Amino acid sequence: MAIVERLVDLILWPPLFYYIIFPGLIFVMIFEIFLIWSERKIAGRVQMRYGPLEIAPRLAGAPQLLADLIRYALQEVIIPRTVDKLPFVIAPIAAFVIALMPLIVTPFSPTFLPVTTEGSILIAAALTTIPPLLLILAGWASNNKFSLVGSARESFLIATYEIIILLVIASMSFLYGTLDFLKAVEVQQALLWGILLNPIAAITYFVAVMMGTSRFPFEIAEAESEIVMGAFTEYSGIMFGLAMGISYARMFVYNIIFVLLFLGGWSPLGGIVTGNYILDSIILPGASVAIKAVLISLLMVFTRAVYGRYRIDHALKGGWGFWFIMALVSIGLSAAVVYLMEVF
Amino acid sequence: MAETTPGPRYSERSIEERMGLLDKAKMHAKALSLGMLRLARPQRITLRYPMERPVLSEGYRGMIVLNNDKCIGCSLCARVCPAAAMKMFNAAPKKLRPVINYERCIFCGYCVDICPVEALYHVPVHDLVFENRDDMVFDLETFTKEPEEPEHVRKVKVVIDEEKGLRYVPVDSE
Amino acid sequence: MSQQSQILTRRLDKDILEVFIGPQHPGSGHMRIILRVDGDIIVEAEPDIGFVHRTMEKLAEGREWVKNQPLFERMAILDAANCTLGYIMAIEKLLGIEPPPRAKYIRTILAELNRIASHLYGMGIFAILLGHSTMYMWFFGDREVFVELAERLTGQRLTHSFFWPGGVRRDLPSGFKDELEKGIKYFEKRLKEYEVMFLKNPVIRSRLEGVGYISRQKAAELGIVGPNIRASGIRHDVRIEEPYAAYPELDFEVPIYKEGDALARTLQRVDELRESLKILRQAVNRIPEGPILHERYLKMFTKVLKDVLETEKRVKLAPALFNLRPPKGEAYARVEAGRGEYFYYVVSDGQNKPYRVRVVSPSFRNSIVFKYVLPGHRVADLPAIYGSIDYFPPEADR
Repeated sequence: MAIVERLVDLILWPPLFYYIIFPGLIFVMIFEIFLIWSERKIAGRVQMRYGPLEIAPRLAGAPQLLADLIRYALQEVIIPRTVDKLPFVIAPIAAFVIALMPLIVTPFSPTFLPVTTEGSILIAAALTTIPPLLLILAGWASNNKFSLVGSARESFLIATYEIIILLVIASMSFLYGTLDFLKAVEVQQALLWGILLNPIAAITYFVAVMMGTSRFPFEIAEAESEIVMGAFTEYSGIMFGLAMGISYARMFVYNIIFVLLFLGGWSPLGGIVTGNYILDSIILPGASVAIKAVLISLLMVFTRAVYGRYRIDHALKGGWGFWFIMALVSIGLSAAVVYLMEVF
Repeated sequence: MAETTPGPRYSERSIEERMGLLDKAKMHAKALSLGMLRLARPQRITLRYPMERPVLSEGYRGMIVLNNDKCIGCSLCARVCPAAAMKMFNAAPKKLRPVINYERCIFCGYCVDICPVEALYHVPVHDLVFENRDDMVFDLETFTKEPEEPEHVRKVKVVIDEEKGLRYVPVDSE
Repeated sequence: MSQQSQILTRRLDKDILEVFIGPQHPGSGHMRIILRVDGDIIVEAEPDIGFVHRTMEKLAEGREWVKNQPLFERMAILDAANCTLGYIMAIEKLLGIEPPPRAKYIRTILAELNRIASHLYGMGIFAILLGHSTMYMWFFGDREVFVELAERLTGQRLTHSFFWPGGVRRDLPSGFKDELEKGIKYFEKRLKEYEVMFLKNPVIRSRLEGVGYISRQKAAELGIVGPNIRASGIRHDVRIEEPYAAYPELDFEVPIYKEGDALARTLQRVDELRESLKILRQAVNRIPEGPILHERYLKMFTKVLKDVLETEKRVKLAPALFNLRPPKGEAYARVEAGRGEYFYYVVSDGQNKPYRVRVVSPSFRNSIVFKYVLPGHRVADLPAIYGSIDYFPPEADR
């Protein structure tokens, strides 16, 4: 029995639990599998077909993604002779790891967070900007024309959406008067959800994240009919699976931030007090944040069924010509809201 | 004919104006809501093929079967075959009979149509599985036998529908 | 870096990158387009066709006349009726016969079913090239209705081989009219949804507007055909210029757009779909009673053949049709297929096999567009232009 207790202790040891299980690697993997499966199911429903079904029709084909994962894992990883090996191998792995890094500062409940810092919003926003640079590295190291074009497109897009996202986050922290997620959620609980306080910021953030995580119609950097698979054309096997997962992992992280900044964090379930510490401080608030993030993510993958893809110049034009201005407007709106709060 | 027919003619048309910002927002909303509608009420036309099999239409040009009693051994079918899939051989002295190679057959039905005594006919089966290529060359015995339908499959009738396009009606429920 | 990791390079102009699109590229089809790009802008494009060349014209010289029909329909298998109709019509011209009116109407019905299926196929590919997977599935799913109808008429989904010189192989099956009407009604409803999802979708609009512009002048110079030239404002449709089958008796419009860009070509195709529905509806309502094969051959039918024709409404292949020996001479026929004009030139030396068959297929004539229209566009416009001219490599390569 002592061993079992020790094991349970080890699993629940906060650093381990946080990084490996929830909301770390394992939870993100489950999230990705669920999201890719539901993306295919959603597209299938809209497109007069079933989507994945053959493996276990009663579970609506849910194990299909596990099967895919196993296939990716067992497939030979081909590293072409012409690539620059070190960056080629490092880029997707590092990108995936760094894509999950912002989770170290995003709280899932007032007490459930590994790193307490005053500038958590700042750190999270800063960390989300790094993975795209590694995608560019991957494309460069691949030594393939299509990868190169994909990287070039990605680098154009980064400049657009990162600035919009950072401006929107700035406008929200201006509104809440803090750079700490905890305080931001507190303000929302006291006042109103951020999406109601500043809807323009919410919409702008949503679109910018779609642009950043290459959702349709902004799936430009890996446009299949144009540049095969963008920066990841040369990847195969588990490396390709990992590369595919990066954008979903980033989407998850971005949407956690979205929930914390706009959707009141752990609002509905977080207030319930049952007396059980684990239930009160981890499961209920954590579940409410995660469920909201999943719902937002589902909305983002749904657009695949409605849109084609923009051309890069359209996306840039839309980004700089419209959404950038909307981001500036959202700062103005935040100022107005702050002013109104001061008055009343 | 009593009614007036203007007949075929050209008609010049033009694309409406470019969309403004408001139109764009409206069309975005319309497209998204149509997608949502289909998500809520899917309109599937998938036929789960190996488990469900369609009843092929009457006169479907499927696999070809020889009626050995009718055959007069005239060789017309072998001569007309555009893919050279049909060959004649001596089944007995002075008794020519055709055999077919399904590796080559393109299911054009010329042989069935040219047969002067209706000794060849189509059966509504088009998807036999062969384990090796030699099996695809039928001998007289297999060629005169109608291929068996696989068991344990749901037969569905394909109905053209105003609402759904194609509808699959299970055969036994009728 | 070690010596091994160097790749062979070829000198190009400074800043020019040579990109090979195809033949193994998700957006190329059975062809290769060699692009030279300056940044994102194409400066030179070289269509490299011929990857699926099958020497069809030469093969045709070694086969009896009717045997060539299954061969030629493999040029554009999704448009099988239209692309073989020209050949059959050329034979009929050599023989000096005209099919009876009912046969002409049945030919028209099948040709229009095929036109719809072919346009839907082309637009489905177009949609997936633009990344719109839903429209890809919708176009292909709705095409199934018309493929199913064609199957009921001919007995085969795609490779119909449906015409005999002087007639057709089968009469309309019973209940075909109602089924067709249902299919048409369904499709009319769907056309409205296409409008929302595809034609007026702002994302698709922005991809197509002003892209791949072919002026009236340029279209005439390049000699492109079909919906592409009609979208550039040139009035050219064989159904009107040189009427065949039952077209002169039917009331329909051939849409002409002046804009000449990818959007005009797309709208032109969708409008043609509407007109095809109109043609189908009229043809199936006005179809006259009568024989479906020319009487010259009906006379030669034996009792068995006549019985089959009466009971199963299936025209058997009289040996006289198989052993056709058209008189010495030459003939041509033109047909407006889904992608444009098919031109057949047939020479007979009085034997049971053609002396020469020349096929000019629409995709071949349209393939030149890549060379002259792509330069000056972005790489991302390649799928939009490729899809909008509805290029089908097997048809071009023959």
